[in-house]
Amino acid sequence: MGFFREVEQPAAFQPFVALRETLGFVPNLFRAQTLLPRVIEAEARVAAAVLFNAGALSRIQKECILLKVAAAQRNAYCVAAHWQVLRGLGVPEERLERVVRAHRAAELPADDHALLDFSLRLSRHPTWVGARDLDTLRELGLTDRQILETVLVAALTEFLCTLSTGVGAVPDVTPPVAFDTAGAGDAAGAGATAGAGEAAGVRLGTAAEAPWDAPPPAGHAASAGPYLATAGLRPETFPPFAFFRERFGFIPGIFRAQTLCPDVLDAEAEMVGTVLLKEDLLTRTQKEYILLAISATNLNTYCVAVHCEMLRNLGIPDDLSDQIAVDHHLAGLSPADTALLDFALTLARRSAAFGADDIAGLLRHGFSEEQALEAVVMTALTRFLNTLQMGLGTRPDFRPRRAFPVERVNPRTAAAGPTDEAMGHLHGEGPEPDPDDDLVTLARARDAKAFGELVRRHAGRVHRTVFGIVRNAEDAEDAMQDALLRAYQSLDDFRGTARFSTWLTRIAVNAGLDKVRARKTHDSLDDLRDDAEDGEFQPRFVQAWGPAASPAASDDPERAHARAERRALVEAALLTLPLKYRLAVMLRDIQQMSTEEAAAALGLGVPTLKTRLLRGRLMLREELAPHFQRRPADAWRDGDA
Amino acid sequence: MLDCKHVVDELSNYLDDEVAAALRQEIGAHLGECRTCRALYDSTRRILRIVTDSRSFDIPEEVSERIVQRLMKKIEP
Ligand SMILES: [Zn+2]
Repeated sequence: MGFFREVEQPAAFQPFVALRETLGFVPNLFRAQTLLPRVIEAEARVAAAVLFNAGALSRIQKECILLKVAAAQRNAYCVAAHWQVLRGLGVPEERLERVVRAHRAAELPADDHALLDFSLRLSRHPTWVGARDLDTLRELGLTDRQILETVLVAALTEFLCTLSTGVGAVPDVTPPVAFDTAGAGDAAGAGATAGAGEAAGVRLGTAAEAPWDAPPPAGHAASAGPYLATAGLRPETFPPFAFFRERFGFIPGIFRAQTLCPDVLDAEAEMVGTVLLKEDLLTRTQKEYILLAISATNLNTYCVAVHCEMLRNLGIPDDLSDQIAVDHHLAGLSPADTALLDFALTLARRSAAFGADDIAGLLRHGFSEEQALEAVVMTALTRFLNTLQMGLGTRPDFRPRRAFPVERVNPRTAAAGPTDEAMGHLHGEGPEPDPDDDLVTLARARDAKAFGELVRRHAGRVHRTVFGIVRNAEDAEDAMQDALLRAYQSLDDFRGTARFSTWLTRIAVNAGLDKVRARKTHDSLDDLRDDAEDGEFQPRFVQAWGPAASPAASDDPERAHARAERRALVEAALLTLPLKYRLAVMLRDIQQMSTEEAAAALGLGVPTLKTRLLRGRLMLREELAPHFQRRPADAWRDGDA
Repeated sequence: MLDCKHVVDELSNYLDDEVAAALRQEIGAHLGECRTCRALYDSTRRILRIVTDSRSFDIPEEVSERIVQRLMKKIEP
């Protein structure tokens, strides 16, 4: 049937019993998720709270909104299902045709027109929605509760459309509309619906019914939310809020803005608990990555801010979160996590291109079917939350993130885990004092002797850095001279945001690169700019190493070579590495800088530095292992034993 | 649960103690089971120790002094 294996549920499985009662059948959408019954329960509760429970809008009004938004998304599954439901509620086909095709021509009350317009705008142009749109609805006499329900139905539709695409749900009845799915679900701009949905019997709406399709007037961005009235619910008396406060440490604004519908909040809290917080399949971090990456492509500043904060609390450095938001391919994630985000983004942004192959691809990366299904549900949940937020206009729960210069992140502790120490630094407290501070202060006052002292202190560092780049003693001396002079002349530019040694290393790197450039030799700098990694690096020389290989031999490989010989071997091996990998290893393993310092000195993000460092270390190991490795005969290959 | 590829991808972070506790545990468990990854980890760790202690590209004392003297001539009034 769908993309996922179906598992028989007991006859008494509550969500299916309830669906049979309400709809007369169990939609394939839910049958396709029987690998994860708990998820079906959570979804059915949200759907019931939003759609079935008595509210300020009638059931038919809600179903019409759902039908219209699903049609705009060209989601054949949802259109067929809710067409069927509306027929069952006694709405004549020709009226449904009008709703789908051109709702302005349908004989609907003015406020129904307006609600459909608003839902379409929210679905197709979420970033255009502003306080002005809500004022329009209020002028027609619609209440905040009705508007909230409309936002909820639109968000639920995004959820169901994403879900049905992700699980490959087969329509329960023949769809009344045949879709040309090209471009379906992509967030294309104005007029995307016009003419694109070629229909067997029914055409989709045209751009002529345009109020929802008109860009906001200038100054729209100034209309700050949240847009809707709220009721005073408190965590002490309202369990869903107690739940959010306990699990997140705060009650996200997106939930505080929905207090007019407490039963929905209750269902949402359960959904969050079941889908986001359970960790037995995908990890919480992987799920937050999905939320972050999709929210970023949806330009949803609020959700990006919230989930960066949540990732920070999970011990993920801001730098990495930022990179995932911008382009996860450059974030240095594992191939499996990268594939997971590719999968989620394809489903969220290019649903027409999504298919069984995407699921198979995820399984090839070692994910289980259950995990793949959970990734689908997470993607759907993200679209639900993104749509909700745009409709509610909630403000970030945190002050807009200031960009932390990477130099300020405390070396070594920042990426280690969610320790208080790391958090403190991430929140802007300074790192340990720089031991060079006093001399730097003097040097900046043009105290040449103080600068001379700094140079003596760091001569080794500067030399190693430039030598690693230029690869011969003569050029190294020149480059070092240049670097030191440059540093002295630009002391006024040193703001103390980085350690002096990091700043000086960066100048040394630049001086070295300038030297190589001037030399115009074969040591091309191109590979520095090329961030596409050059294919997989498959380590070799693996099997023969290790305690099991020769338990009798000395465990101290250093004894194999005299010190000078060892140094020569290491230097030669380092110089064979491509420049970008060599630099990463030089700063990190020869200079002993922290990951953050090394990244700062090279002007790279931490994830990029880490990617290069891993590659460089593996290459170096490859190069050196034969020299320090025992042969089966327990003899050192190049030396005495 | 973790495949070898994942372990190799995290090898560098693991050596630097820059992985979250849960993952650290998983990697440790994998290394206990998988001889190939164990060998890769051991050899990389030992090679890096050699590299770190190698004093590679250290500056010879006389070069250092020469450079400092030349620099001081340029910047001292
Ligand atoms: Zn392995």
